[in-house]
Amino acid sequence: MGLDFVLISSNKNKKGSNKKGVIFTVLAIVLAVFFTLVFSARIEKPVDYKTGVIETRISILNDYMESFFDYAREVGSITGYSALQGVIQDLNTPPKGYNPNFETQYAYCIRTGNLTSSKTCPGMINKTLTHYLDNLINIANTSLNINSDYRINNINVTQSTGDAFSIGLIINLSVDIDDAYANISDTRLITSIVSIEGLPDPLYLLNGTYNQTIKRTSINKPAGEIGGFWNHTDLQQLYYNHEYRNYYDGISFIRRIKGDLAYNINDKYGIESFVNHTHPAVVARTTDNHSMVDYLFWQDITLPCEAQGKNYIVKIVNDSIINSSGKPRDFQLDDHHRLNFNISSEDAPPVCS
Amino acid sequence: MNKRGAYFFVIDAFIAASIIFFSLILIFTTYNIRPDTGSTLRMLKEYTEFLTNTRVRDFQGDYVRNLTTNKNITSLDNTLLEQLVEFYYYNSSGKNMSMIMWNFVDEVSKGVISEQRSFAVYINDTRIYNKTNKPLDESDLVMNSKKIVFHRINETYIYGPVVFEVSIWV
Repeated sequence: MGLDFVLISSNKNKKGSNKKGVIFTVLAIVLAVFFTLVFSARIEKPVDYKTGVIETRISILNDYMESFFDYAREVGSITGYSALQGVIQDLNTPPKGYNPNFETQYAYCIRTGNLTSSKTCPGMINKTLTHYLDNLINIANTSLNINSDYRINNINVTQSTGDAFSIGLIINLSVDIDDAYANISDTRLITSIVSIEGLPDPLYLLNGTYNQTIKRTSINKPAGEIGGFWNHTDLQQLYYNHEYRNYYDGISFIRRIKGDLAYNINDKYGIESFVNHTHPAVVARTTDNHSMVDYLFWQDITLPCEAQGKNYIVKIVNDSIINSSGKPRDFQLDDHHRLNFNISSEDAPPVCS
Repeated sequence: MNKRGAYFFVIDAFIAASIIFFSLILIFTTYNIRPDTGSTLRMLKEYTEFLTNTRVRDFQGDYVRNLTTNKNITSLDNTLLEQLVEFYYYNSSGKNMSMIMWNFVDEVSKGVISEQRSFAVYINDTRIYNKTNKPLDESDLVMNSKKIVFHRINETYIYGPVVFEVSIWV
């Protein structure tokens, strides 16, 4: 630029060109310094230069929020299982008995480690939902510098999980995150599935003289209503391995805890097992009118021992199905179950015939 | 006089050109040059997402497949991150899994973290993997990602929460 000025001025006026050249040179220096200052002062710092940092932080907070609910769902299952153990242990503590307030006390146990305000839930130290979630909050605070808090608004207990061998916890949970970049709150319903396998069966615990734990059968067949696909081999597996199956006429696990043992047509989560007919306590209790189906036997529900047009008791006389040789009694079933396992009337005639 | 004038104008032109040249150099060298964090940040994020969302059964790697065959991996439904936490849990319980963890991370990181980048993986501040192309203290850019993770071991026990951390530097 300075060069152009100098050349133009030199063509127009030769006199005094030395002085003008110096002026233009000085002018060029001034302009150069001016532009240098202008551009060098323009440090690359766009107005949104912090956006990346904020986005990253918010992404971390969102990720933490998702992790919180995922964690709550998982520990819901863990703490739910421990609380079931506690509730069942309490059933067996004198004065023994069923727990009609199961849902309320169970939810309270999960949350606080107590069954009521004056009664502890056995085995729940450091296993409550609150304990697990507090732990997560503390780690988030120390490791990620995230301040958060939560509220357990409600816990609902349901048997309707789609599986007779688990119960569901529907937990209403609110989480608040307080951060310099964003405040985030969310409330969700999360469902934790709690397995009942490996837990003592309250029916045996409170009525029997021997304990039996819930063990799901490996037989993969539709719930055992009449007209299913069950056969005597299945009965053998259930009986000898002390396994349980889903059976619509059976008693669901929650109802077993509550002592709600009446037949309920709406209960699709009923389960059943078969008592050990050779156990001395069972032998002593068995009459010609007892079926070895657990909920019938332990409730002392009796049926006619001869066919009278209704459901009646049969005995399996074929030892290749259930071996009773040398035992005080044959294995007895009600006729509905005989049909369900597709056992012939020759192999299982009425007890009184 | 004409000769002297010509010299003067030539020198003047050189001076002016020099001023412009040095001004431009000055301008461009005084720009605040910052390392580009975008791609590293994206890589970090994608790596964590990859570990979080990919199940063992969906990962095609020879080493991981061998671990499955050898029964060191028992559940194919675990995500890669869950599997790593499970290894760490067994390692913390006394079973030495450090070599398995190292090789596992090495395989699952191939193609996700570029070869030019150095990176390290930590769980609860314990370094379980490290690949160094450039010493950390000489790096121009270090980026960390921390995430809280956990893994359910069985019906009654959950391991964690633990802090999973990835550092990438260039």
